[in-house]
Amino acid sequence: MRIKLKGGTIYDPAHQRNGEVADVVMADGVIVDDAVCDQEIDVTDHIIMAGGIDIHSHIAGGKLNIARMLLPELHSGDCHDRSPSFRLGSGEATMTSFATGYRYAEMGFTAAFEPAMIPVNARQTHCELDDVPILDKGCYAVMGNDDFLLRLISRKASQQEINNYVAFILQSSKALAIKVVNPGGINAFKFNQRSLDLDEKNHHYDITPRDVLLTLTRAVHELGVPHPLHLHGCNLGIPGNVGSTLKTIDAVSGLPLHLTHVQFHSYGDEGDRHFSSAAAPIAEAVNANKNITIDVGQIMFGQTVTISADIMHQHGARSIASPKKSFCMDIECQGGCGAVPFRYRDRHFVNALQWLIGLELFLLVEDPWRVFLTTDHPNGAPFTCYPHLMRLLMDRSFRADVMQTLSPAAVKASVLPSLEREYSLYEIAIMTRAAPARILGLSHLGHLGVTAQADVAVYRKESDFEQMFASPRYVFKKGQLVVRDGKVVDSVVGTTHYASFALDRQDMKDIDAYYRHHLGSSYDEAMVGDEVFCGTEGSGFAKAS
Amino acid sequence: MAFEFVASWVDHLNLTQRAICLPLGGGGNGAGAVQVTTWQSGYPLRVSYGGRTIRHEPHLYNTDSLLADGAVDVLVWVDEWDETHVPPQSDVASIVVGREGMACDATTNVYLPCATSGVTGSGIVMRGDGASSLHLKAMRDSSVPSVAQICRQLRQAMP
Repeated sequence: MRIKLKGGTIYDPAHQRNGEVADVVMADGVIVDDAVCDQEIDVTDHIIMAGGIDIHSHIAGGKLNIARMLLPELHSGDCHDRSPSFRLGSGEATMTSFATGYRYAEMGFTAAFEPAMIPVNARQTHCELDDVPILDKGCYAVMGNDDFLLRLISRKASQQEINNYVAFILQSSKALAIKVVNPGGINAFKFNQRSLDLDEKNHHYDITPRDVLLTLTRAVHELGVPHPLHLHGCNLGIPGNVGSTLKTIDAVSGLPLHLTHVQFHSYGDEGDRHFSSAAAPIAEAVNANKNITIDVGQIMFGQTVTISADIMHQHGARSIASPKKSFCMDIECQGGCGAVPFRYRDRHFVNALQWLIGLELFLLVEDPWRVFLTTDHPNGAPFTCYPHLMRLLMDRSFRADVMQTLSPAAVKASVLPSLEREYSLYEIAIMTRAAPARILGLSHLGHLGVTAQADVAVYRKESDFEQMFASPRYVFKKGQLVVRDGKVVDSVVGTTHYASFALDRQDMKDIDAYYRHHLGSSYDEAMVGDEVFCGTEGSGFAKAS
Repeated sequence: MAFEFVASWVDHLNLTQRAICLPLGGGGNGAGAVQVTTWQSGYPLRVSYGGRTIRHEPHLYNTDSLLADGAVDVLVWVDEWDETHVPPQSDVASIVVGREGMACDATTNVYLPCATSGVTGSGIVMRGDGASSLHLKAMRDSSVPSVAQICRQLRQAMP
């Protein structure tokens, strides 16, 4: 079926198309340069963008199941997709697999990436993602607290040895990128350390987060992994953590680095309450350092659950859990898992300021190619709030109205009321389409050029951007109609993307011995194969080892 | 309750020092089934999808109670591991998808032999703590279908 979308207004930043009226033709799952079609759909007065891409959303893996079991009340009475054509689902903050694919598609998003896959949990994570329909997806493998790596760094192993291990982790877990969570801090917590700043030593390994960060930044860069090291830095959520974040930006000396959910790392400790916004110096540093990209991790008000490998932080946060229950677990000495439910409140000074800090970051970082729209789903808020967040960025009078409802002391402590910037549709298309595809190295996604995968979202032009982005007129996945008028009408199989390396078995002897001795497993057993793809296509792109 | 007590005890000890508890899983990949139903429905085992809603009632949906109360029309019994693990006696019509050689008695209406992961078929088993999993590969060729293949065929054959 060749489908032509006729007369739409195109926002395709990868090709500098900013509001141009033109046709888009899809055939055999891709965009084609051809006027011939079997079906023509008039989309005059509609906006056409590539399908949205979420680069950081916790949508699969054992940690999510732990949160689901901890919080059955977030699922009860909440059943999605009762039509016999679709699979049932439930929940929002801890949304189940099938519903996750449908709800993303219903906002015009056609790809989402799980950013915290513990390697030992990789097979399960991919199995769960296999049950997420429609979306293209991929995972970032968590490193930086695994004993094997810390031993290598501690004994000053060569960078080549480190690179071999990083390549093994990527290959064995079918990961697309490497994520670091609180570098060395989760491990230090096991030795009873309660905090670890960038230059503090892990008492057991005698190395610092800076050592871990530099080693892995270099490894990812030298291995040619498209996505820079994806960093959840030190001291998440701690007032005054701006100092650590700025030092981290300086530390990598120009190498590419992605700082994730930076809102949680942009806190000062000024004022009566010893909690203040430090979005301005962070944004200034991001603007000045072109090697740095960020995603925001915007919070929204309401019930959610925070899920993180950072058990140093999560164990500390258990006292503010709402409802009052939480869970912390070590995962095979490779990382951790902490689930702490939380309700963000708009009249609460700290929560309101967190909301303001996130928006300050969005509006103060000048280059939309280097700041990504995330809520760190579900940590800041469920991903379903994206249309609301887009309106906040695009409509300053709406922003002002919402600020009226917040803690007045927090609003007074923020520069947000003075920021007049409004994101354009073109900038939204950069931030949610073109830039995510580029930074993940997925050249066939995020744009509408010929040969691009035909993931296309068509929105009615409306003055209320929240309404517009919440209910696309049409969404196509690989050229097939999957959403009409904001409701899923069909389901297609997405693709899981991962980096692929040719490993030399000779270089893997130590890893195999370590896995056998400490993990009750082996090199071969750790290697995730195509057994995880039942309903999904796997797509590895080869990288030289 | 016992688990909650131990977990809260460990949680409290961790305020000032280090303590852990280690879970032990059972056999038969029940842990794997729990993981799958949880990511698909939001709940661990004993979930009803009847009436196109999701309900989790561990006591209500206990197999023995459902059979004793006559609350179900058919029993579908799946066990690819243990040929001695036969379904409980009941008057309810039953379909058994079981390991080759399972000793079904006359009360079983339909018996479909299936492959065993790690022996005649392949499959994934998950550890009790939900952290690690193994891919069990077939050690020898067999024409016996896997549970997944049988389920797929049954589904395709349904109207």
